[in-house]
Amino acid sequence: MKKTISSKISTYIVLSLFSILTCYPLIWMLFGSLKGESEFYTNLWFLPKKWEWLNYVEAWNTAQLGTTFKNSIFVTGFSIIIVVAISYLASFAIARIPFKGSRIVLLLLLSTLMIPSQVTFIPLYQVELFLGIYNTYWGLILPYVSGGMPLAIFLLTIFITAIPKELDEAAEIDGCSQWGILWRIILPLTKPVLSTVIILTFINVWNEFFLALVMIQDPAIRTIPVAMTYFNQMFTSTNFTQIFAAMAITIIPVITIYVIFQRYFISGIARGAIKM
Amino acid sequence: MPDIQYLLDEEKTVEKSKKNINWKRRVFPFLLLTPALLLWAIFTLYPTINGLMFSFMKWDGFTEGTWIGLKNYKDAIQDNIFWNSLSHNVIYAFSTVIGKCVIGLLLAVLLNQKMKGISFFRTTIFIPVILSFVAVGLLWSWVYNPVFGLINNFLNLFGFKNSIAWLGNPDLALGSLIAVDIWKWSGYHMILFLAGLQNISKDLYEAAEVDGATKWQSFLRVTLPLLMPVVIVNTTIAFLGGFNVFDLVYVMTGGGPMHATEVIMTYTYQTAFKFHSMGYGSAMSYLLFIVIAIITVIQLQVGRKYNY
Repeated sequence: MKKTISSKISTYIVLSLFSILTCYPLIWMLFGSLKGESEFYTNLWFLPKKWEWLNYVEAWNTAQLGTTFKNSIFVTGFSIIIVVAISYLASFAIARIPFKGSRIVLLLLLSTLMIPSQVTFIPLYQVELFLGIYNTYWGLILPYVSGGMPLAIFLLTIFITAIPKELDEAAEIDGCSQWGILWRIILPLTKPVLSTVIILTFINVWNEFFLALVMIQDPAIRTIPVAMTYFNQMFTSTNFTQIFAAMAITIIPVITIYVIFQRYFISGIARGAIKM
Repeated sequence: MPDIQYLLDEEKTVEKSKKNINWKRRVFPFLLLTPALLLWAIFTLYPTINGLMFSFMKWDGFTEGTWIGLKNYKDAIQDNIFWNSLSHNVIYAFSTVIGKCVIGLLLAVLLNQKMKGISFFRTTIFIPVILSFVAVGLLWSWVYNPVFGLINNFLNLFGFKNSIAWLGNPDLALGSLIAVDIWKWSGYHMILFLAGLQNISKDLYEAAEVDGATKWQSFLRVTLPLLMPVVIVNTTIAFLGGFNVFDLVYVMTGGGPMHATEVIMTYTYQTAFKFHSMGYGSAMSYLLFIVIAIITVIQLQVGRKYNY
């Protein structure tokens, strides 16, 4: 296909417009987070004239961002580890070991995809009260794991089934046990899917708001999204530069991780969409 | 999910060949499945059944509940705020589906060319997808701010001196939220469409060009029909997002002003955890579930037509 210069230029113009529309609000927030109180209202569009790095220090302390970061890292880290472990074991059983009812088990585990978590949040609250995990880290981690598990199992089962069976047979002849096949033969091969699972779990859990709002009362174990809404309510119309700084502190690490691993992020999130 | 059929076939053939599996081997798969099944039973199966029970009960979350039959459902049907919320969900879903898919497809078509710097645009436009709804919602409540917000100051440059309360005006609030939702997810749909476009063979376009088709004609006659399965996936995802919306509304307007942006999820949350009517909240959750189920069934039917 031949492309004329004018069509090339219009492509660039449209794409640049959308890029600006996407990025400028974020850049504006970064600028704002570095301005002094009065400059915040007068110099609206551009870089600060006087850089107020102190905003970040104050925001970090007042919003207790150290604690919230620790909470988010703890909850997200454990959710990822447990989702990967449980889903891998289940998928290996379904895809590799012939047993009666494997298809029914798979369908049951996948049925969670059909039920949006919002439908079950009230009974979930009761379950958590009963188990004594309401208002604890596990009150978030366990529902996150059970919510992330079906898609992980779906992706892993398809992938493991596609690995040639001859591999297991050869390993078995060499005296490898089933546990050995699971651990040493198949697991290393599933790395590409595991990276997808890890990225999807990271995004979903790190950003999750609804359950974190409902299941956590104690300010000391709030995750970042919930803590940010409380911080915002506390400071609204008093000190916007500090709220902007707090926002910047919570957003910058995520965007940095995204930019470094962007290929994995984009392909992983696209792959996650096939659950539909 | 057609991919599952192979398991059924495999199961049959394997069963014949391995009649004498020892006991240890029989237990092993269930050992591996136990954690997953346990979690599924506690956090999916039990709450789904129990939620249905709650929807027939009056329960405040602390004391014993009492059975009241269909009263919660009857109340919901006569509840003006419920219908209002549902209509907001419908408006929200349709507008975001159209906005996200049109913009997503346009961007995907533009990105599907061999040009310098394309990956830069893809990376930047995708950024909002990885941010939380809370971050996006707070950011945009500042962008909409009447005093220092970007939009009012931008309009100021063109002589509109009155600052507009985008989120405070009942006529504008819902539309303002819809715009933010489209802003957040367009990059996501762009990537899904792009994956679909890259699966279409280049030969088809060359053939169309030889036959004298313009670019617009080859888009309508070649691209769109072949892209139908991807369009269905995109619209379904966007539709479900529109009916499940909670975070953005909660953060930006809290359902106000005067219920102008109330959606089912914010109303259910209020009912259950602010007014402690867990039974009524459950009933509304289940009504929403029915709506979502209907959409999913329609999607499956339409999808089947296109061999998806």
